[in-house]
This record gives sequence, C-alpha cells and structure tokens, in this order.
Amino acid sequence: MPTEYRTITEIAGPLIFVEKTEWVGYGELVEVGLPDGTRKRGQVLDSSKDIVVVQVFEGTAGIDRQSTVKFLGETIKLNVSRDMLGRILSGAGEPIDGGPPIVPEKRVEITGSAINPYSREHPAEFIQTGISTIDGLNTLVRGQKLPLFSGAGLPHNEVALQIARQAKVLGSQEPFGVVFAAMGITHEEARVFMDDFERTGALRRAVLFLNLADDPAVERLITPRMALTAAEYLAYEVGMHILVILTDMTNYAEALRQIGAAREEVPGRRGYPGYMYTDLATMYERAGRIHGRKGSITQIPIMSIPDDDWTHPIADLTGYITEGQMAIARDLHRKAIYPPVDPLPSLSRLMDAGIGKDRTREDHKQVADQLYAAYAEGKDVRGLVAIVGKEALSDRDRKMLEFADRFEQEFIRQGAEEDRTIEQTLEIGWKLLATLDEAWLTKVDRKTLEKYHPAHRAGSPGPERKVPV
Amino acid sequence: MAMKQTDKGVAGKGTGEIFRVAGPVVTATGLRPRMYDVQFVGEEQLLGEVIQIMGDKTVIQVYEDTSGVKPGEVVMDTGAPLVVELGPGLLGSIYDGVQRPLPILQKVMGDFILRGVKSPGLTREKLWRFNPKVKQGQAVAPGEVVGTVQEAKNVEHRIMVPPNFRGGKVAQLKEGTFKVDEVVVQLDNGEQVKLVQTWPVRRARPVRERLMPTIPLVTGQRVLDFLFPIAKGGTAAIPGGFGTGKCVTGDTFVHTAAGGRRRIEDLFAEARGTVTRNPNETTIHLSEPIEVFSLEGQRVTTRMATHVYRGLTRGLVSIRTKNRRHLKVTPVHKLFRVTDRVEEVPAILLDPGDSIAIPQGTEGLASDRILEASYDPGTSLVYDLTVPESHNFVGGNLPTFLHNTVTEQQLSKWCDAQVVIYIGCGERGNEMTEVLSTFPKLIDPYTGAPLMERMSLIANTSNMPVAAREASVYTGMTLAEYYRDMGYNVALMADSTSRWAEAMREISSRLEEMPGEEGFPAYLSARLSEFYERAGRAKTLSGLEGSVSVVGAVSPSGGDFSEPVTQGTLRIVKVFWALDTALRARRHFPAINWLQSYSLYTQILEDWFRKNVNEEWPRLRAWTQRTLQEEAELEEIVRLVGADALPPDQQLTLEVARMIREIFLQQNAYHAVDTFCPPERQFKLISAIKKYSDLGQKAVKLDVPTKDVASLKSRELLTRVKYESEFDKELTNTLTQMDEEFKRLGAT
Repeated sequence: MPTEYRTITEIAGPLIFVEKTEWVGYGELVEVGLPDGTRKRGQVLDSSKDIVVVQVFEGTAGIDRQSTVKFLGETIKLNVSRDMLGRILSGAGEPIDGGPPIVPEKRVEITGSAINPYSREHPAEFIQTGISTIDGLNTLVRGQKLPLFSGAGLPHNEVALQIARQAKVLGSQEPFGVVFAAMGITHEEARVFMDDFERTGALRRAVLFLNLADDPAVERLITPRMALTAAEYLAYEVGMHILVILTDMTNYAEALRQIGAAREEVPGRRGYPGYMYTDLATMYERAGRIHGRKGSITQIPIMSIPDDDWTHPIADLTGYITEGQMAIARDLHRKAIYPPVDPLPSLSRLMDAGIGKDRTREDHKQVADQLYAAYAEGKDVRGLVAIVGKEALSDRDRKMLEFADRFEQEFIRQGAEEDRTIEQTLEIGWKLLATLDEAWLTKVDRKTLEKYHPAHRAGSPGPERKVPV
Repeated sequence: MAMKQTDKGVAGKGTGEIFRVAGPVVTATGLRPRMYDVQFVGEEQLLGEVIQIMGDKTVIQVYEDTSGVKPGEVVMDTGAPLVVELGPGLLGSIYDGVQRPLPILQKVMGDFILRGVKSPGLTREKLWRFNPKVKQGQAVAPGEVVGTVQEAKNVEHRIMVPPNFRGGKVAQLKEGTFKVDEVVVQLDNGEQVKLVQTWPVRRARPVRERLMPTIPLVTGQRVLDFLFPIAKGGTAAIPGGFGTGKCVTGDTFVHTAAGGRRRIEDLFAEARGTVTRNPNETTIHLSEPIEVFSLEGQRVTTRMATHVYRGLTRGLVSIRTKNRRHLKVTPVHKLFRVTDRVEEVPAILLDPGDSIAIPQGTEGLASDRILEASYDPGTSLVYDLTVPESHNFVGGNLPTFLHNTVTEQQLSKWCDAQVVIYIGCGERGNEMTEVLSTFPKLIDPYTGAPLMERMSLIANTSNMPVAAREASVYTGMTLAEYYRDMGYNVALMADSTSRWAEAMREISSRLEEMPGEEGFPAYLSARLSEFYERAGRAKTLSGLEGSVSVVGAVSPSGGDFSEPVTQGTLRIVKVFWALDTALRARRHFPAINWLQSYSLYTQILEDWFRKNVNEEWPRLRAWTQRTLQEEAELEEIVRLVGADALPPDQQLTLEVARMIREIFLQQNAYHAVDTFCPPERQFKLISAIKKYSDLGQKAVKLDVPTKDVASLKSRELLTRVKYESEFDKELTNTLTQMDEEFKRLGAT
C-alpha cells in the first residue's frame, strides 16, 4: 500500500508541489485525497529528491495543504478490451454511460511508443468517403492523418461525421471502427456526435471519450492519448481499421499552454510551449500501418483555427506533422455550399499512392489535376471580374468562370447523406470538364481523353453546349 | 552507438545518482564527467549526454523516454563522448538518430521503439575481405589508407588509420576475412587499426587542406543544374512551408493585432462599411475598424484602420531586401528609411543600400537593407489601409513555399556523388516510410546496382525522442565526413534542419536557459554555421580529394522567412532553391521558383561547364534567365490588357518563356527518361529553344503572325523530345523540321 503524504507546500493553478516524499518516478500516476473525501488524479511532471511537481487532472479546486497525496507507482494506463466498442467513457477513461466497468484484456501505458519507421507500411489503400471534393481531389488513404482546418461557426463536425458514416475501403469487408475523442467541446456538439452514432448504428463499433467544455482543462491532455491507446489496441491487436476523430485540437493546445504557464516555462510562439511540436507529433504519429499487422489507424484531428489564421502555431505545427489538410472554407460556407471543403488550399500528401489503376480508376490523377487547375483559373478570373467587369473577359476566361461556378455547385456541393462512389465523382468531374474546350485540357493525355471524355464515348450526346448569357 | 554496453558496463568511469527528472532532462549528483560525455541513466541504462555541469550537479539530456525513472537511481559515466562506429557496413544501413540500426531494433523490440535497447551501429557477425595496401615496415600517418574492403559492388571502402592516432611503422599486417572489430594492422607504437573506428559526432574530422568548390554536383534536374547549380562541397537550402496554398507570392500581408496576417485583398473583399466609388478607385469606410500594427516613433503599437482602399496604378516600385522581403508599392507610397533616425520616404526615392524599418516580433523594430529597387511600369491594382494618427501599417510580403520531399529524393537519386547520406530529422513517419520503402528498390542510374548500396539513411521521426533528433544531424555528418576522407564525393540531405533547431529549442527551454529570438537558444546561429561549415571540398589527410555537399531543408513556421532558423541558414548557405506553392497549384514540377532562387556558385562553376559541356553554357544561361525575367514583367501587363495588345516580338517572348517553363524547367520525376537529364542534353534542349526563339523573332519581323509561329509542328515536337529515349535522333529530326518550317515562313 503506497504511503499517503500530507506534505503539500504549494498549490498553483493545476499544479501541486509536494516535499519529503519517497523517490517518485517521472510521469507516475498520483491520487490526491481531499478532506471532504473526494479523490482526484494527477501525474508527476517533475520529480527530484527535494520536491515533486504534480499536475492534477480534475483541477486543484478544493485541494488544501491538508490534502493527502499518494503515488501509485505506475504511469497512467488504460484498460483496453474489445468490450470498449459501443461504450462512452470520460476524458480520463472511466465509463460514463451507466454501463459496467470495462474488464481489461490488457493494461497499456497511454503515452504509447513510436512506431519503428522500418516497421511502417506505406499507406496506399483508398478510403472512399463519399464526398467528391475529398475523394476526387484530396484523397484520404488508410493510415493517413489528415486534419480538418476549420474555424468558429463552420460545419466541420458535420463533415467529420459524414466521413465517419460513409468511409469504406472498396471491396473490403474488414472490420471497421471509430474512436472519437472530444476535448473541450460543448454538450450540444457532443450530443450531435452521439445521436448520429446511435441513429446510424455506428455506436456499436465506436468508442467515445468525452471531455466536455465544463470538464477540467488539464484532463484534455490525456483524453487524446487514451483514445489513441484504445485505437492502437483495436487496430494492431484486434485487427480492426480504426478511424480516430480528435476534436477540438485547439482546446488541447490551450490546455498545454495552461500547464506550461503554471510551470513558469519559457513560452514559445504566442505563449505555447516550445515542445508543442514534439507533443503534437507524439499523438499524430500514432496513425499508420504496420507491416504484417491487419489493422490500421487513420486520424482526422479537427481544429478550429483562431481567426482563420493558418500561421497560428496550432495549425502551423499540425501542418508540419500531418500529411496534408482539408480546409473548411468560410466563403463556400457563406454561399451555403455543403460540404465547404475548398480543394485549393487542401492537400493530401498520400493521395498519389492511393489512386489510379486498380485502386480507384486510371484517369483519377489526370482528372484531379485538370479540375484543380481549371478551378484555380476560374477563381482567378473571378477576382478579375471584380475589377474589369465581365465584358472585358475573353472567351476562355468566361468559360473558366462558369466552370468555377458549376464546379462549386455540382462537384463540391452534395447532400449530408449523399454517398457518392468514386466513379460518380469522376463522372461529375468529366461532365464539368466537357464544358471546356478540349485543347485546354492539358493535364489529360490523349488516350485518357478519348476513353473518358463524354464527347468521345460511344452513344454520348457530346459535350454540353451552353450559350453564354 | 559505439559506447559499449557490449562489455556490460565495465567501461564505466564512475557512477552517480539521479537527483531530478523532468522530461528528457535528468540531473544527477556524484559524477565527475566531462561535457558531452555519454551517461547511462537509471536502471534501464537509458542513453544520455552531459549538457551542463553545475558544481556537484550534472545535467544530462536523455535520448529516450524517461517515464518511470526515479530520483535515487544510478547513473553511469562512460567517460567518452557520443561517438559513431565507422567502418564497412554503413552503406545500405538504416539508423535512428544515435546510429542504432532500425531493422535490428525491430527484431529486438518489435514494431514499436521501446527504450533501454542498445545495438552497435555495425554488425559484428559479417566477415569482410581485407586487402592491405601497405607493406610491413612502411610508415603510415593518421588518415592514411592501409587497405581496402569491397563494401558494395561499386564502392571500395578504404580502411584508414584513425585521425586521432599518432601513426607509425606497420609492425604486423593481416590479410584475409575479418569481422569489423578485428585488428588488421598493428603499428610499432602499439596502435591497432581495425576495420571499425569510432569518432565523436560533434567534432569535425580533420582534413589536410580545404579546397574551393569548382566542380558542380550534377543532379540531372534541369532547373538546378542549368539555372541554380550547387558545387561539390557546396551548401544549399530548400525552404518549405507545409503547403497552405493560401499565401501566394505577390500578395501583401497585413499584420493584424488579432494576431493574424491577412492579405489586404481579402481584407478588402470582406470589408463592410460605406463604399465610395470613383473611376478606378474604391474606398470603404469600415463600419468595424480593423486593429493593425503600426509604427509610431521607434515603437510598434496597435492602431485602428478605418478605411480600406483599392485603386489602379500606372506603375509600381519593386523592392527586394536582404531578408528576402519583396515589396511592391506605388511610387509615392512611403516607407521608413532608417539612417541615424527613422524617416518617411516615398518608395521611388529609395535606393539599393538604404535600410528600411521592419517589425520584429510584435514590439521591436529592426532594419532590413534594400538590395534591389526598381520601377516597373504597367497598370495594376493596389490596395491601402488608412490608419489615422500614424498613417502606416505593418505589412509586407514574405512568400511561403511548399516543401517538396520529391525534390530531395530526386536529388538523392540522381546527384553524381558516390555516397549519399539522408537524414530524416523530425520527419513524418509515413513519409519516412516512403523513403525507406522506395530507396531500397531504386536502381543507381550510374552503376546499375541498387541505389541503397551507396546510401545510408538516418530516420528519426517527429515522435521519436527529441534529444536523439538533436544528435541525428551530427551522426549523419560524421558518416559523410568519413566517406569524404576516403576520397569520395558525398551528398548529405538533411530534412529538416528546422526540426533540428526546434529540438535544440526544446532542450534549451527544459534547461531554463535564457531564450533568444522566438525562444530559440542564443547559440542557434552558431550551431547552424558549425554544422554547414563541416561541408566542403577538401584534400584529405591521405592526400585524396573528397567533398561533402549539404542540402538542408528549412520549414519556416507560418511561412515567415524572418524567423531565426531560416535567417541563420540563409546567411551561411550559397544556394537557395525556392519551392513555390503557386507553382505547385499550377502543377509545375519541380516547383522551384526561377525568379526567387539563387546560386552563388554560378560564376565559379562557369569554367567547368564551359570546358565540359559547351563554351556557350554561361551565355545561354543568361539568356534563359533574362527571358524569364522579361516574361514576369510582361505578365503584369497581360493580366490587365490581354496578350493581344502586346507587340508581336513581346508576344513571342511570352511564347518562348512558356516553352522554357514547360519544356525545359518542368521535369517529370516519374518518367523513365525525363527523370534524369544529363548536362549535355540539358544544353541541347535549351539550345533548341533558343534556336526556335531566334528564328521566330526573324519570322515575326517579316510580319508572320505570332500565332503561326507558335503553332508550328516542330514546336509541338519539341515538347516531346525530352521524353524520348533516343533523344539525339528525335532532336535532330525536330531541328530539321524546324528549319524547314521556318524556311516556309520565310525566316532562315
């Protein structure tokens, strides 16, 4: 039985300082007993022979110098088991759905270990999300980490849910699951997720970790690690393909900053700690595939970027670790286009590995490049129209402008329940490209053009002709 | 790691006790170590290095996770610095940041990297055939080659007397097959030369003499070799933002007090308020003023911007500064000139050599020297913000670029260095996997053998211990120097040095050191220069010639080039390959911007290209750059009035520039032929474009419409030539056809 100490010397923010202890391991789990009988949990942040610094997850409210401190002799672990599927847990991993405690098949440290780069397998399996702007232009593959860069008031949760609902690997019947970690989101937002999971029956194959807005901020530091630990177990030991949704990473980073400030650390950019890059990396890098193991972990972290400023450290550092990003765009949202994923600033670095012949379709890359280029040009023209007016446009400009509009309305826009196959997505793409002069389609080679361009296909009515207004 | 745990801790110089553990930083008492000596920390013997000594307390940075490590546990001092093992078997290996072979780690601890596992850098099992090159009784000096081992089919590994030996006469000489740790040459002073030697990673290996870098490192990438070449022994930097695509070159940013940088055109587009329209200009009186940074006296403060303005101008002043700022403003737009005081001066009056004020952080002020100031005529749109009281706002354009791993991999594959060391420092796991899975499959274009036979990979992903990340660049550099000492040309790729600098920052902040700029330690730029200075071409101790060329990627956070790592790097390196998001968006690969990149080696390498490729190389290079520059200027006009309004010769210039971009600069990394283009072929290709341009200009003078010149069959053929395996034959055909077609147009 570990000794209980009553030697708290200082309490500051989420930290307590304890002296005259036995020698305590770094990162060890701590139990704090309050005079009223409440028990709180914490973790050792700094351990020396003189003094031990403990960060208390549930906040230090109510702790006084008479409180007891007990060092549990082990680092934070999570009970993992297949039975976790269908359960709702707190941000600290305790069941909060009224169900029985989880009988552990294994107890695992939540910090996780780095995957040996030599053991990793390069992600290359196309995940069909049913959303054209993602599947077509910024393809997600199994084992990838692709964040949603969003902002306040944008429907990133709906997009994430649609992905979770529709994600599938073509021709594969392998077990698929969702691990969802909420950090500091509101009850309402959490409710939306839970209701949707229940409605679609996805809850049976999901594990939810909820740290809500009124839960202790410091607990947010362990919530995503709990979730990833559960995901790793389900993926690499049980062999499931796991999609991890982490929302909202901004709240996580704020909690990290809070701890840093309480420890009086030297702050880095905008007050965030200098080690935030490494800290985020230890979570994001837990996505991946491993040679010879069946499962995989695909991550979709969501962050609402303050003031839509992508140079903000949270977005910036995330972008350096993740393999691209999906941009939830405010201007598309204002035009009431759902899902407002803007393909231009979005990027999937692993796309090339997951598309093409035998994966999606041989023309995918070329169609994507061409749509991308044409939409970019159309958007440029839009800027021009504001200055010189429509009259001064050349024929090409006018077609491109029209293309950009139709691209937004027909390719990007789709229903929240609309699950497009990759063929459908590419067909819409071709249909739109057919409105352009064939000579402008420079990203598409002759052979592909002849095979897939609507005007060249047998029995096709030829390219749509629209009279400019 | 070579420190030797193989002898179960016998090597210890003393032991101490842990006093404090805070993340990767451990404080111990009772040791008497030297700085940077290696320590084994705790019961699990985690690897660490001494980084600070304060009285009886020793601060150790630990290369592994310290969870669960307690005060009171034992620390063992090995009495030696962090070293790597150098010897046959390095090539083809994949290591972590402290030279532990990853495949061995996988065997020992499975798919995840656990801690406390040690493994020597070179396998002790493999036997190597040693061929002595010296005779009994012969005197050998430090660094001298005593024999060879065939390490790979095309790499002869030269066994050298370690540079830290005294040297002497050969007393005993062995021939046959040996393991790396067996003695092959015994000297009369008792020193024993083995196939393996060790060297402390943080110390540069000595050379006899440093040489000027006069030979190019041929990469087979047209935009690099022809326009921005790097020398053997040279240094280059590739910047990379993470590909936001948001900041497009040419846009002006406004630094808002809310903490963001906004394009002024976006601010304008989103502005709400009373709109006043005049011919060619629009002013919006903001209903909600925007808080921006503004300069007042010598201080930067926040002010409210009340109006946003957009109008047309007849010309712009373009200013480039030393810190790579690029401003485009109207001639009368006032900037702050810094002399002994700060004064407002219209941009048109600024000259190269003047310094202008720039914000530093959010408070301070720094000056930036103007390198180029020019007036570009042409109509374009301009924006402004009205800030009452101070009438200025802090803005400016620091372009962001996309970092492109493909470019680095292309370099590793194709550069004509005999040995390539690739350091993945703080890289993404999945990208590292791509490197680890693609490289072993690649065939060396020069020898036909697997490329891995002349490569060594160091992989330390972003989630592996931060201290090992810090060490990884030194580990890589030491391997590179070792092969240089054998007389080889070595290319070292470090991706990314920003991650390395961040590791330094992280450790520094754990040490509670006084931070310098942006929290980086004050010694950051000294460390960067030390590292890049280890590159170079040199005469080795044994009288051979070798070189280490370094290509380092920097990833400025927020795409901000004024941040310390980028600045520290640009001060040292001689070549800058600017990767450009806008080019990526246009699917122009390699996405290297031809206007922003530079190479300070072009002059010194001219002789080589003239002698080895063609006398005309420098002239053609100048022509190419001039044409591209002209295009950039013409484009401004075209954007507003359309290409048809240009005179025919300028229209042709645009056409030729497009050919240079599309035919010459764009190169397909995935195409079997185009992926590598030797200098001779580069020259022929650009000569063909030049010829087309010359004939075209003649034709245009004869009133042939530009359209007809541009639609010649030979022009189209020219776009395909680079993909042809029978390049010379196809090119000759194309040129013949070009002659004929132009003859038909009347131009010869």
